Amino acid sequence: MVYHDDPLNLVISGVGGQGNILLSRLIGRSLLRKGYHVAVGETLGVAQRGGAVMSNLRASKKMPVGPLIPEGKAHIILSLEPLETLRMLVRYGNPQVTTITNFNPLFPVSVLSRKDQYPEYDALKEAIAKLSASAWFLDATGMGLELGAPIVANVIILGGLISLNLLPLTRDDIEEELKASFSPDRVELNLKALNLGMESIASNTQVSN
Amino acid sequence: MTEQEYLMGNEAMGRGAIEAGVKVVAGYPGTPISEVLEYVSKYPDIRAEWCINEKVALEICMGASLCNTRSLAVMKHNGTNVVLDFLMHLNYTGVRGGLVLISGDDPGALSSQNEEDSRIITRLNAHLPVFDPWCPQEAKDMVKAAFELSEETELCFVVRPVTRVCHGRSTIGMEGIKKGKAPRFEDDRSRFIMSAVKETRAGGVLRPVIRHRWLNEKQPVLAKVMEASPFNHIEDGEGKIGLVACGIGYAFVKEAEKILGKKFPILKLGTLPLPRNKVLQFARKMDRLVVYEDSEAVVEGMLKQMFYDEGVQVEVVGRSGFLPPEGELSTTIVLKSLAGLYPELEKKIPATVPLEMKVPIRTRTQCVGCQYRGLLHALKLTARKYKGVVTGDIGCYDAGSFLPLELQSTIYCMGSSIPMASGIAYSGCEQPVFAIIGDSTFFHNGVLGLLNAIHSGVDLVAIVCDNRTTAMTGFQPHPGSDIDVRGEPAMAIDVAGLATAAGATSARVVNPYDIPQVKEALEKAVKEKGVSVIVATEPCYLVSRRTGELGFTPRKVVLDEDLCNGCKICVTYFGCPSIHFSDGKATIDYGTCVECGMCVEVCQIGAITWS
Repeated sequence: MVYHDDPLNLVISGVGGQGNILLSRLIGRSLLRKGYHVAVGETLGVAQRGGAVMSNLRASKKMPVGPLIPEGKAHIILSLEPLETLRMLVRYGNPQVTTITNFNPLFPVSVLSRKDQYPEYDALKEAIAKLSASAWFLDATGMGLELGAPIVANVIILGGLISLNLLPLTRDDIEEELKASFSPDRVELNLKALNLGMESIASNTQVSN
Repeated sequence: MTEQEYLMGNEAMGRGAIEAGVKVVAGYPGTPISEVLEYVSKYPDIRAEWCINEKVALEICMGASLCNTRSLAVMKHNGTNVVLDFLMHLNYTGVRGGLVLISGDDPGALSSQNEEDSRIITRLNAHLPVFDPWCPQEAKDMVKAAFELSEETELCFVVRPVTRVCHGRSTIGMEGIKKGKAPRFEDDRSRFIMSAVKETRAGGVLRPVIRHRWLNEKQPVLAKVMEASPFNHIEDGEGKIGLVACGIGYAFVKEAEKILGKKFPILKLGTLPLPRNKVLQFARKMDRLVVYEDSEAVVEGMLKQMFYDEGVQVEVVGRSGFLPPEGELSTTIVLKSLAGLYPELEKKIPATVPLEMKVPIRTRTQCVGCQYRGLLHALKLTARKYKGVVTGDIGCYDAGSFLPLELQSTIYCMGSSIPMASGIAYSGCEQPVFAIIGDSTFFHNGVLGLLNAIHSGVDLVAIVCDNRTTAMTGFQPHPGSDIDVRGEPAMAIDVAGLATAAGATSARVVNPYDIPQVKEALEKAVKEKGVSVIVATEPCYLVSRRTGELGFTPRKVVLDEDLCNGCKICVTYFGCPSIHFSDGKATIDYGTCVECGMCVEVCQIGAITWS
């Protein structure tokens, strides 16, 4: 699906410490280079401490936009944790939304202390797929581990997003941004992660409605 | 066209101050406003300082203002409560060099202990002018304008952004930097000595009354300024229901217009006092006004008063009950309210997504590897053993009050842990009391409670979590840190030395990773008379991970499932997110474990061992 709406609304979610904020900055700056008006709204303050972290990213070719996506108005949800995908779908979802999820469940404290239950993985996938126009699941953290750096899961997810052609961004645009954002010794790793994400979407089973 | 940069709202406000020629910037960190000062500190000619607390910051700024120097005080709404005493004098004396106070509000309490509207303190109590920005660009423009107007009117100007403006990121127009005036101190005791002195020149009237009159006489001047302000405007639209969009409310109202495809009459407001003529011009054409503001019904109340005085017949509704009186404003709230007024719009409101699955809430906890998890573990064991009460304070370690530890019994505001512990001790209930407080919070206001406790001879244990930084808000230095905001060397104040000098019964320094050491210190302290201080010293794990100077030797741990008896002490008395528990047994999640090894000590039956 290609979105022709303006502005384009992207929700990026996950758990503190996963690199969500960096992910939104990479996409935001890449879109800026392409001449888009970009606005980002971030929920910080729980970063690094296991709380839910979320960014709203909006891009418009026509005019400056406010940083907050109205409820029910996301085009794309990128999430580094599946429970957070579901949480965001409830708030920002609609029948046209595409979701890309790093299927790396991280248990909230309430689950660890057995006060709450984490949904069964298959049921969780199913619930996400049911609420998405198309839902993609990647084991980005696992792929990152193979690269020796689970933290690059965010760039792997970004690779997935780019290969779906949902945004007016190419691999070259992201490569340029990675080179601008990372110190030279980290660029190669992140480019590998980007490629891995792009390839894995190609071989991934998409769950569509 | 001006140069554009992609900046966060906080950075945009910092840039606005820089362009206005600010020279002194002082504040105390807090979400949502910490990045303002961090941005400014990148300019070497600026004196930028994280202060011990907000009151000290504003007092520093006023000192600079006395010398014709432009200064900026930065704080969150809770900090504005802390400065209220000084503010209620600063408003009477006025300023010389432009002085701007940025008070960041957090409607919805996304990262705060309360949701407070600091327009009430700054406008209704202190009668100062307040700007309320709707977006990062306007926030920058307002800070810049505030400096000019502050000097023009001799009043401290307040800019009150909300979290969504502070944490919004967009392209911001960059302009040139104004050169500041040369500093010059000039005495004016009739103004800057705030005391109950009789002024002979004014027929023996007391000076505070004269200065109060001065402040009152500034109000018509401010009214004129706001009438001409670019931060207020009227937009024409259909119908007789006018939308009054204050601050961030304007962003939500404009989104709602887009979604509904309808143009409403809008009065966009960004200033207090209100632009009276503009408001009346708008209101006289309407039957009803809906006021969208975060978060109290401040403008709503002002409008009602104005219309009563002017005899304008228009109904005014808003946060006093027509809209939800608590929580953060949103496009959804605006949409729902408009659908209530125009039922034909109901069908254009995005449908809510149905979900039968329960999505567990994700609360924050100590990071994996956090040294305070060891401290909280030892404290919970000791407190439960002696049936003690633990009072808490503001900072990362406050997560010890949530699941699974549920240790602290109180959390109020900065520094209240030790005085509340004293009160519990005075009450006559014969339980030992423990107060746990972070280092930055200790210096901010906690030290006063400690000195009071030592002086009054109460029996309590005060535990200071000393990680050498303000970790909660993003690692800002405080008086216990050996660096300043730029990373330059600074004098670090020693908490244990301070407690000893003040006369504490004992001041034990422990390593929070060393659970037996912490337990031993707590066991001794709880049996002592007077105030026993325990300082748990170890740099924040997130910092030491970066510098490589870890407080532990990383080693893999293994869990013997056959030995695990399912006692759950590792969950309920420790709560490391890397220890999972299912089917009556604990397991280690090696994906997130950082090998701090504290769990080896926690497990009483030896099921967790070094590999």
